[in-house]
Amino acid sequence: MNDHKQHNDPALTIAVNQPSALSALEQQRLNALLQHCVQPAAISIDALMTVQQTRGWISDQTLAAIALFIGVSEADLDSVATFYNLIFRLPVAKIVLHPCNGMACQLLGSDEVEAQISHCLDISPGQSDRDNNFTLVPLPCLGACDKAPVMIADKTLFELINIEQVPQILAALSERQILAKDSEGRSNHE
Amino acid sequence: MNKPSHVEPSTTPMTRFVDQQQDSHSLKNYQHHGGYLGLKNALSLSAQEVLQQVKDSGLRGRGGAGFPTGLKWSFMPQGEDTPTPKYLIVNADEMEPGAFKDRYLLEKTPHQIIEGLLIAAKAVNADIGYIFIRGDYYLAIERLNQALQECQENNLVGTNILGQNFDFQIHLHTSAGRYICGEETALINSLEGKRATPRAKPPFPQVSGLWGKPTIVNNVETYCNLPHILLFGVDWYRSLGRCKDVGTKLFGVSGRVNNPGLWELPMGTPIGEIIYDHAQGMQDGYQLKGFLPGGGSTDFLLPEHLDTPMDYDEIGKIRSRMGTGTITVLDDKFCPVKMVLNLVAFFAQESCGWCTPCRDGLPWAVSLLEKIERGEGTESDIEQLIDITRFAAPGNTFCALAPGAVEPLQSALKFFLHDFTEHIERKCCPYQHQASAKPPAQAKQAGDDHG
Repeated sequence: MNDHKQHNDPALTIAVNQPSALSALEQQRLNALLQHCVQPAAISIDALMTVQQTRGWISDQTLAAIALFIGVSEADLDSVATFYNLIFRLPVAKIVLHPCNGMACQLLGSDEVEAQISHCLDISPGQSDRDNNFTLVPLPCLGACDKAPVMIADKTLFELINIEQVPQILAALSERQILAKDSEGRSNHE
Repeated sequence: MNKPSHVEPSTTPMTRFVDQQQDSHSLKNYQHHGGYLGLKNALSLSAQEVLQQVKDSGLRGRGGAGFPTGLKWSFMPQGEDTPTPKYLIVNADEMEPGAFKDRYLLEKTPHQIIEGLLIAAKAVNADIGYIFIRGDYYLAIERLNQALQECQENNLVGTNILGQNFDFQIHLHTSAGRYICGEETALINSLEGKRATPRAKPPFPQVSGLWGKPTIVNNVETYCNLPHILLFGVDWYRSLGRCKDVGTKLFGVSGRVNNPGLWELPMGTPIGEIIYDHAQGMQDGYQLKGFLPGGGSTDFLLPEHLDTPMDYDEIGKIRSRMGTGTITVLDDKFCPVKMVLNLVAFFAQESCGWCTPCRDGLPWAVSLLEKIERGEGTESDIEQLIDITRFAAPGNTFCALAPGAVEPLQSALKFFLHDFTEHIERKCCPYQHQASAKPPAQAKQAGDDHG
């Protein structure tokens, strides 16, 4: 995993197999979860999702740090981390594209939509593009079958997609990413 | 009954306030249309009386299995010496291929779900509620959080709710995504922070569920029925159905129809009426070849079954299941082998891996279906597929995932066998060059006009 050039996990610059330090904010969030749980292991999934929010994905070092912090074994936590679709154990780009590959979307041409995304970004499912803007992770039925084909990206549901619109959608998502970054920069500056 | 005069019984109780209201999800609008009046009635009754009303209403679970709701609740032990806290869970982990009804209710009517949950809590003396929601349902999560906040501010959750000496806490749990979480005992394991593998039954969750405490899990839509039963009464509710089953249900149609969508209709509405009147029939140039009546784990049916009412027992008689009530239409230009392959591949991917027929049988079926779809299949592959449907039949597996997965497969092998053999004889997919995707009108971001 360490040979990935594109990542946004500071843990990878620390010695291998050392738990990466959790930031003060991450620790604060995990403590808040621990306060309301019946037993520490119960927050396993929420803890992984919470830390993933700040780091984008869960590296081995991140996993080790969370396990240590909440007091469960790394093996137990990894068994949970690898079970769920939305916990990423490999680096992902800034925006994860989730085109629906369910039956209803396929009936209305989702294969072509997915192929068009792959073509536009020159990636296969599971890969990130060269600029590290997009990772393609098709998901099963997104529960909007009457608007098929659909895709979720950046917490937004795109409906009734046809292949001609794929470049526009990708451009709009990139634009949004830049805007979000700008406003973040501004507020940090202020 | 203490309610404003404009709140009248409707033939579409669950959605009557949705269509005309852009912000039907707000507490203000929900209350304007009679929201939380059912809860008020429930809180003026004893737990036993509320439970009896739900039993008498004849409401059956809307998650797919159709188990009588009141009966399910009556298995939860009651009395001084029974374990506490008692838990109630809303199963909002909608991930069945072809199902899109819970998303609608979650996004449009979060308060209706919360009111139903509170009424259920009153009936079974529950202390804590969890709403277990699919992680990809971002808008629904946002709206549920808003709704819970509004409830906090208006004494609709927490302690001494509405001054009626009734306490109930509600937590929202966002799932990290896995189809098996929809299985109630797997869901409970997931809430405990574990891998979502199903548990052995018995003990049933009503007796020993979350953290070993009494727990009831119901589907989103089941909860949505409760406020109206408590507000307008059992007799009114029972009068809504068009068959032996009572009440209304969200029915949907997707696939190549003119007007795909979702409608609240009486139980027992004939399938043909849903596909041809509401979904306005097949698109030009497409014929109805078959359909799944209620999601990806139900058996295919044929045009000859269009007169059958959407009713748990009637659909059962023709050897399928009403399931979620969201119909997926297969047209004559789409390869049935490919459609079944999509479904079985989904179930193979989503298998938790706990038991052999599912973990090993489903990927085996996928490889056989891929072979046939590529034009490299043989007659013996079909025999092997039939064998797999038997290996994964109910009774041979730990939970219902694999038996559900082979339902579309076994019925496709029965109804569309000719298509399978044609792939083998012609050594290719005979549909490959037929499917010309007619592009939909325009793409857009999901907004308030969804549904």
